[in-house]
Amino acid sequence: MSKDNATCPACGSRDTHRHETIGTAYVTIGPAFTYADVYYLCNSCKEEIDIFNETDQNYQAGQKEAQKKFVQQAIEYLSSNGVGMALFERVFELPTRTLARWKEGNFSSSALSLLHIVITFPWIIKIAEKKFSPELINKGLNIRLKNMARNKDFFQKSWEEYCEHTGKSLPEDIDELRELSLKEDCKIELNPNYSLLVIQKLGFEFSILLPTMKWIIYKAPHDENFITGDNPVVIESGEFNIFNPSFLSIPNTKIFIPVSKNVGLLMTREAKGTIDTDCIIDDKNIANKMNNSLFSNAKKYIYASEKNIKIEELSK
Amino acid sequence: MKAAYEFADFTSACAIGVKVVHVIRGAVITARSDFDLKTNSEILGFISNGGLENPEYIKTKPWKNDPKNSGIMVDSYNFYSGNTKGYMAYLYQPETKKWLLKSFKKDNPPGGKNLPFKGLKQMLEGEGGAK
Repeated sequence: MSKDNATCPACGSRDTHRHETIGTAYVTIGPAFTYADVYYLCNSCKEEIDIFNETDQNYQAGQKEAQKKFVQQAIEYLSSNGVGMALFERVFELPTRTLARWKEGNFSSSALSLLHIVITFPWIIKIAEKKFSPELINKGLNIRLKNMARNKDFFQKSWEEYCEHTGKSLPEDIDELRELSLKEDCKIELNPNYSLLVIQKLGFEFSILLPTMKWIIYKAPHDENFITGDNPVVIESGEFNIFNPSFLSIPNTKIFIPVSKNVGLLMTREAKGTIDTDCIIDDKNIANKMNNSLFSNAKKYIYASEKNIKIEELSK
Repeated sequence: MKAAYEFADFTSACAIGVKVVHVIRGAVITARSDFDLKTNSEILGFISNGGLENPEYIKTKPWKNDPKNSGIMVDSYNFYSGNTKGYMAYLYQPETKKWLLKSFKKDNPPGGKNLPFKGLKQMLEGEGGAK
């Protein structure tokens, strides 16, 4: 394969130079993977192009391995939470041994999507078991709506944010809707997709779980500061790298947020609603780990209080 | 101003794939972060498969990196994918007979984040600002 001096497709020049760096990416709610990120810089037009699609091939190979790992972890996670492979196949009407084949690496993109949905909304299994009965779906959604309606401000804000997100106009009778939602025999006909979006987008499950979390204060070691970025929350669990509030329902999920250069907050589900003031941790390894994660999570920007050696190290 | 290229010619080229359409590295990065389209093939497949909803022509301007000043023009469009508004720009290089997707990203309206000095003049000259 041609390396340097390949023809630039943008300007036709042969004054090109091949660059290769290591890229990092995540599969959706799954593990990270690395790949060789190859591009050619044209010294004539200054455009950077992957002329021979090397990055595409490298990315796809790395992604496939990470997806295999995700599928295995997801199936094992479901099994350990009472959703065995046979049950999964039965409720979703899949041929027997389908999950065994997935686990061996023989899975499709649709299989991945189904696993994403089930891991994110595990209660979908109960609905699938009832053949996606519209009555059951409405019952479940009405329970969630009722929970939202218990707090007037939250209910109002939820609808406002939903309408802003979707470009729809706010219902004029929102107070009436709230009153209706609170009634025992509430049976508002809901479009499941519409309601799921409301619940998901508003982090509803997140908000009700917050008071049940244990909060631990992390203090940065004296010679290291916490950095932050444009995606300043680290979410991790024993099973997956999870970037969805719904996963807060999974025990052992941890959420870390730096609040200043010296202090960070860690939330876990180990105990209920406590701020553990005895648990002020000054651990260089944890600070390093969180800084690394914050750096990897950032889409574009990293913020630090001053000249930070760690950022220089990570940027190399 | 009229578009320099027929939009359908570009989408047809995308259907042929990476042999005739190259994606600039910056566009691959934003397509990945903004639209979850991870590779060149996924981007071109998305375009050729009708993924650009309601494409709307914005403008045509000269390719600013053209080393030969050969008059190559860049067409830019807005589009939607679901609720997400996107922006894309492309050109055709007759010398190499290749299309080049120069930009493919979310179309963010100017705001505090991308106009960080928007209020600077007011701060310096206006009330309460440094005199």
